[in-house]
Amino acid sequence: MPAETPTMVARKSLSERFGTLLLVAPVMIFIIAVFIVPLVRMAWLSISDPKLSLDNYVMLFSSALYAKSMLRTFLISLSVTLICIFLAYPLAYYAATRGNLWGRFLLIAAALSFWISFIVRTYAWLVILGNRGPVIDILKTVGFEPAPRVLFTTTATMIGLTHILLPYMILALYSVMTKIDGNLGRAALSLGATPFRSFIKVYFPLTLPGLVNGCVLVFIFCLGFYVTPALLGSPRDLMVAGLIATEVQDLLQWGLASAMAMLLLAITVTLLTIYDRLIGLDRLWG
Amino acid sequence: MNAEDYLVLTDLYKTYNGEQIAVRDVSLSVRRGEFISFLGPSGSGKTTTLMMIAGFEQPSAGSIMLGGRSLDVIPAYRRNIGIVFQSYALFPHMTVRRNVGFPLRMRKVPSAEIERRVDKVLEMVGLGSFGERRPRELSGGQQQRVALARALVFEPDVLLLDEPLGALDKNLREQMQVEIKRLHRELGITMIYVTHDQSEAMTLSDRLVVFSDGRIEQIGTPLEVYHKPASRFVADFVGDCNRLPGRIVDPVKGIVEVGAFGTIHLAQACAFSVGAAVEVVLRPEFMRLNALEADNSLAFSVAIEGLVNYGDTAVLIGKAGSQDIRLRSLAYDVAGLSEGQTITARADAKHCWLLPV
Repeated sequence: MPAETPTMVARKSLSERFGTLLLVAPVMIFIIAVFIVPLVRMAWLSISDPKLSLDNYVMLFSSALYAKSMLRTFLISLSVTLICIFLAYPLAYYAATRGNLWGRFLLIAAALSFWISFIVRTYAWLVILGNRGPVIDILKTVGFEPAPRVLFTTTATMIGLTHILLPYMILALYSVMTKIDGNLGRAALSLGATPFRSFIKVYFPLTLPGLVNGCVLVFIFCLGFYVTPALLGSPRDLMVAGLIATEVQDLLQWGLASAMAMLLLAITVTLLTIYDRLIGLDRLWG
Repeated sequence: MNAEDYLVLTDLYKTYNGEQIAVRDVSLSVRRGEFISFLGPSGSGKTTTLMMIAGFEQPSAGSIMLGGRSLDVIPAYRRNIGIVFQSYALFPHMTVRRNVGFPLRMRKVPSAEIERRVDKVLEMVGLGSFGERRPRELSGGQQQRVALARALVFEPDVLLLDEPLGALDKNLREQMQVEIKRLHRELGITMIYVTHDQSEAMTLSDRLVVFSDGRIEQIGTPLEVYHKPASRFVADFVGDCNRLPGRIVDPVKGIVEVGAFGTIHLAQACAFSVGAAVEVVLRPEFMRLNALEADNSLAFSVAIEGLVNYGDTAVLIGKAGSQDIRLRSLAYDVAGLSEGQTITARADAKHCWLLPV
């Protein structure tokens, strides 16, 4: 009997594996058709258009225009991430530690914006920041005459991106904070830590996984964001995604655009890999 | 200040939003080195009182003195009071050593001395070789030992324990009770122990403080509380009891008539008027089967309705007339008895205690 067991197990797991394969087949076909195939085609384009060479990549790394756009994209992403941290941390802390009505309301308000398309929200900012919008009115009433331009600047891009990506940061932080035992803070106090040191030494380190999660989500989203910067931002200070669109739509440089997209993809994958090594990709969604 | 009044709570009162009253009229004086248990059901105010001593909750009124100084305006982190939680509250991102050294680092103790004191206290709780582990790599009992070590290493004036063994299984709990008692004996530290487990409170404490509904029902040694409960609540909460209706015949001589079961003569006078209705509290284990007829005792003819045998002891449930009776005895004594039988049980007057109705 013992000799038979391994083969029985093997046979069973084979049929199980086949069943699983059957279940995932539709989604795999879908992913291959709409994601893998275009990706491979784009990779091919980047080295074959207009002729088979690495010219496009050489161009990317040698031209100041692209390097500047890349740098700008990084700085904007970094700034948005930092702003999100400073806005989201207190809110998530409040919602997680005070289980009261206000805390829940703030959380629901943040989560609710998930269900409003970011395009709709971007258009809303177009109105709010526009020349006839309330922001300009307020600037005028407090004495800025003529009022500075807000719309179609990098500031507008950052406002829009922060608004759209803030909920990710809030929920990433909140999901970690609710799991922290409230007695830890009390224990730290009883052991002689001031409230400030208790926060620095105990609470904050325990929220780091959530903070890193939120940063990865927000930063990577920012890197490749197209619509919001395109609608709100300055046409002269393009982020990478905007630059790619210009190459394709205005200059018909398909090869160069593909090379840029590949580079962006490579950076994103690198960041995710580092994250996976450090924390684990499965933690990204809470 | 004298040794009798080391920790003094005076008329503590705590209300949330002015409506719900969590604690009222709590006054208590704890001796230095005493082991006190706060005993009561959940929501009785025992934990709230503990949190006020620790400084996590502000009393709405009343004051707390420790070692002759008022704690009222001293924040939790400068009270020098240790606390052990049911959830252990160990810092998950620190090793055992870092956890135990935490209070010393907060006090800016030189690092060589921190190492020495951490070693010593870990040795004391039997975790000498676990210093480099993380809390999650330890069992529940080990984690609670770390929590104890961490709360003791800075030599607090008082150690508070909030249901510290509630999350442990029975055998481990008994082991830890012995451990806590040993630490108390060796260190001579004042301990306040919150629990809803009456047997735990009985075995550990010098004195019990029984809480109910936000106030103190009784303060006394475990045996006082057990044998002379101050109220019906205490009688029911601390151990089982039979409550028999009685009537005072002569308060000066302590003569009480207990329905059809007999008339008893108590050793001392009782503070009731002639003819007053009282309740006679009789613990089930002080009712005896197979006892000879004796003077000054009550006799019950009990129709057995149920027998619960625990192996070593057994509880017999039945009726004497219309009176419900519970009787606890050695399993040996109930062998051969069964439901439907009628037996005679007796109880001595000296084991009866009177409560007002």
